[in-house]
This record gives sequence, structure tokens and C-alpha cells, in this order.
Amino acid sequence: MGDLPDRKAMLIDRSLLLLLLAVLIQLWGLGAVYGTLAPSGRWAHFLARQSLWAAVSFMVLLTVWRVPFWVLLRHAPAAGVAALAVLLLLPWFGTRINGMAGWYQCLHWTVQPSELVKGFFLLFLTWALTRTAGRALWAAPVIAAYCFLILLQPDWGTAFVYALGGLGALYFGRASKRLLGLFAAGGALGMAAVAAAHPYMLRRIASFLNPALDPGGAGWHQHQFAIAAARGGWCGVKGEMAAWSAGFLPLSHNDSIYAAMTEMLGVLGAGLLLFLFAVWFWQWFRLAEICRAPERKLCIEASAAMVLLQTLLHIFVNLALVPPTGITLPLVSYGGSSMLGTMLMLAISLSAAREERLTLPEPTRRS
Amino acid sequence: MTRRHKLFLLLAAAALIVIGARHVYLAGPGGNELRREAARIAHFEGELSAIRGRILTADGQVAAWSERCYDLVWMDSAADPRRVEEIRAALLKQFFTGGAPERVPSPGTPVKYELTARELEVADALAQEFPELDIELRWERRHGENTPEVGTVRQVNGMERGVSGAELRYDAILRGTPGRYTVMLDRRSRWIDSTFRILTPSRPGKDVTLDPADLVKEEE
Repeated sequence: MGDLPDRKAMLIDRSLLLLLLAVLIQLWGLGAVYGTLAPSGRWAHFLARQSLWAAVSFMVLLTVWRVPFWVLLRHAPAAGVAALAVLLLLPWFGTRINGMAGWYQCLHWTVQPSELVKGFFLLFLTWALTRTAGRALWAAPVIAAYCFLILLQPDWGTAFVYALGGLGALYFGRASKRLLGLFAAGGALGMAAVAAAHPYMLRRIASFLNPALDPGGAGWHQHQFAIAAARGGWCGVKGEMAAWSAGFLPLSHNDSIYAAMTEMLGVLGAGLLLFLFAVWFWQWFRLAEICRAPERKLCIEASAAMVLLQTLLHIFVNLALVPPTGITLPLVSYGGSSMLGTMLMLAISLSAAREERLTLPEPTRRS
Repeated sequence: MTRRHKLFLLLAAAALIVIGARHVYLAGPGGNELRREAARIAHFEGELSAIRGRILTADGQVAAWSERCYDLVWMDSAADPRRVEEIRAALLKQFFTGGAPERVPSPGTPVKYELTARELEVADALAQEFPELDIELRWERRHGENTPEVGTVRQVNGMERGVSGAELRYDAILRGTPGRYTVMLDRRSRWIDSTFRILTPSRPGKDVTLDPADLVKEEE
């Protein structure tokens, strides 16, 4: 019991540090959205909306943080199934943007449910992995169902993030190596089947492996990412001279924001953001380490793993290290759904840490 | 820290090293070829036309001068019929409310529409909304109403050159010296305005005052 005050203090310190770093990354993101859109003069509208989303997501975080984790977990199956239903109805009631039926529209606002429900997905998985008899056998169909519905949109990138997040949850949920291998193989087969059904995905992969195959078509985006990073050099080009961000990168304030930032800030600027992210994730995993209750620990680990893997995937795509796919950079890219979804995952982790702290017995005074 | 934690963070650290290496490669000599390609694709250098000098009569009247004009140009890139209608409707609403609808540019041939100062602002907003529309600058030579004929000019590479009369005779003095600019182009070869830089400013042409002997020559 001697480490009780320490553990309590550590839980508080790490939670606050985690929140502070998240806010710092959000502020960086606001600057990045401004920087990428300033050359085209379209920044005011986007910056105002993104600031509003940042404020809303912060309020949501503060609210969810106060909800006891056991309440969240008790409602996880219902919330998880509701999230599946929301995804299921997208093809009928959703709005199609860039050929993808992934949004619901309400007046002038569009929300992307696949980004918003990531927290519910992880809670559902945590519940399945800690509260059910079959554990991993329960979790695998949950992951498959989410991925399948997202692939129907079709949103290849987000489905991949869900698959990675699910794999991370299974890994931290102590699933056996055999089951992890089976899941990874099943996921790869599923992805291959989807790729076969959508020839443009095969073309992207083929162009990635052989850039000379179709440099003006399927390989075009990947090549622009590499050029943007190369133009940035060590210290970046002046904001108004960031031509690749302004005229070549697809959605430079969103799916290509890391490449756009690299062009403007160079290796040094990008390195600073990487450092911020590294400290943030380190603290997130350290928070999990302090928790003892398996369900709280798992939920924090799975959330950190999913956001980390999404961050790495975005950066890999933006440095042309993997075939291009549309993935946002958590807390940095423009988009309210992505921002809110990430803050919700963080809020659930903070709620788990709060409950861990509250359930610790009061230290007894030594005589 | 558990073994699974350590292994996961080790993999994340490996990914970070790959990212760092890729950054160093692209920022260093490995990115030279890409930077050259970027310059080849997007770097454009052009001539900055100089304003032509005025021609004055001996009593101080301005016989010829140049004015800056703007054209709204509809480039032929709107293949989608719905898009064509959208642009046509926007143009009709903004510029041809009381005019003849047959003047509305149609896709197929780029049609120019000279803009007044007020219309320029509207056109600028419209060009932001519709990338198919562009605004082009040109010089227009004007002549005084009660002044003698001083000759004609024609446009050569965006500059006005004297073709006849005093405009031709004093062309070397009037035409000025063009400057040079650089700008970067986007994937559709449109200017990225924020990247516009003047390398050498243009020098305006000098004014010429005609003496009575010149006017005799004009009449001859």
C-alpha cells in the first residue's frame, strides 16, 4: 500500500499532461489548417469551423471524463450495436462525397459516423474482451462487422484503421498468438477481396510498387506527397510559396496535412510535431501502465494503440511510404468528426483512469 | 511495463525511425531530383508588360494614352453540362442582367468580356468559385477626342507596339522596358497567386510631346 499516494498522484498528473498535450496538438492543428489554406485565401471559413469543433470536442471530453467508467462499460454493448446500426444505414440515408457514402448531412453540417464511433467500437471490444466468456471469439466478429460496414461505403483507409485498432485491442487483451495470426490473415484476405472488387485499389497498389506504371494516374498522389516533402527540405519553404500545398496535394488541409506541413515547415517543423505526438502517446501508454483493473487498462491501451496506428498510417501515406489512402491526422487534420472521435477516445481513457484513482483505497497513516 | 507493451512500443519506435530516415532522405540529396521536377512542372517565368508612354500635343493635350483593362475569360474545361449551366447562370446573374444574353460566353471557344472596375471585384469572387473562369490583364490604347491622329498600335506578346504614325516613329521611347516575373502553377496550370514574385520590375515608357512638324508629317 506504500505506493498508493504515488499512484494517485501519477494518475492525476498523467491525465492532466495527456489533456494538455492533446490541446497543444489541437492548437498546432489549427495553425496547420490556417497555413495550408492561407495561400488560396480560403482559410477563414475552415479555421472558424475547426476552432468551433475543437471547442465542442473539448467540452465533450470534459463531460465524458466525469462519467464513471463502469457506466460507460455497462452501456458499451448497446452503444456498440447502435453505432453499427448508424453505419449500416449509411448507404440509404448517407450523403455521397467523392464517391463515398460515408456522411450524414444535417443542414450545413456533415458528420462522418465512422470517425465518431471509434470510441464506442473500442468500448464494445473492451466489454467483449473482459466481460464475456468467449472473449477473443466474441471480439473478432465485432471487429469484422465494423470493418465490413465501413468497406461498404467504401472507405478503405478507415476500415484499415479499425482493423489495426481491433488487432491492437486483441493484442493488449492477451489474445493468443495463434488467434492474432488468424485475425491478421483473415483481415488481409478480406482486404484482398475488397481490393479485387475495386480495381482502383489494385491500381494504387501496383503504382506504389512500380511508380513508373501510371505516374499521371494511380501513382500521381503518391508522387505529389514525395515532392511536397522534398520541397520542404530541412527548414521548409515560406508559407505563401508552398505551391504543392496550394495546388497539387489532394485535400491539403485534411488527408494530406502532414505532407503540406512538411513542405511549409521542413524536417525541423515536422520533427517537432512528431516529438509532441511521441510524448503524447508515451504518456497515454504510461497511464495504462498505472491502471490495475484489466478492463480499464485494456480500454486505455486499445485507444492509445488505435490513435497511434492511425497517426502512423497518415504519416506513412504522406511520406509515400505506403499506397495512398484517405486518413486524417488525429487532432491536426481539418474535420470535426475526426477531432470529436479522437477526443472521445481520450475522454474514455481519462474516465477509466479517474475511476482507477477513485477506487484506490485511502492510504492509512503509519503509527 | 509488460512484455506486450515493450514490444508494441518497440514497433512504434521502429516506425518512427523509418519516418525519420525518409525525412532525411527526401530533405537531403535524395530529394534533389524531385525538387528539380517540381521546378520543371510548376515554375513559370514570364514577361511583365510595361505601360506605354503618352503622346502629348504641343499645347499639352493628351493625344494617346494606355489604360489597364481586364478580361473575364471562360476557358473550355467545363465538360459537365450541369457545370456549364451553373457557370452560365452565374455569369448571366452577375454581368448580363440588362444586356444581351447572346454575349454570354459558351464553352468551346474562350470568350472575353471586358470588365469595368466594379465588375472586376465581382469577377474575382466568381473566379474563386469557378476555376474555369480566369481574369486576364491587357493594355488598351485610347485616343483623345479633339486631338490629331497619332497612329496606331497593336498587341505583341502583351505589349503595345507602334504600327504607324508617331506611335511607330517614337516607339522606342514610348514602349518602355518589360520586366520579368515568376509564379508557380497548380496542377491545372493556373497561377498560385501567393507565389507571384517580380524578378525585374518593368520600366514605363516615356511621354512624347509632338511638335507642329510632327503633325504635318501625320497629315501627309
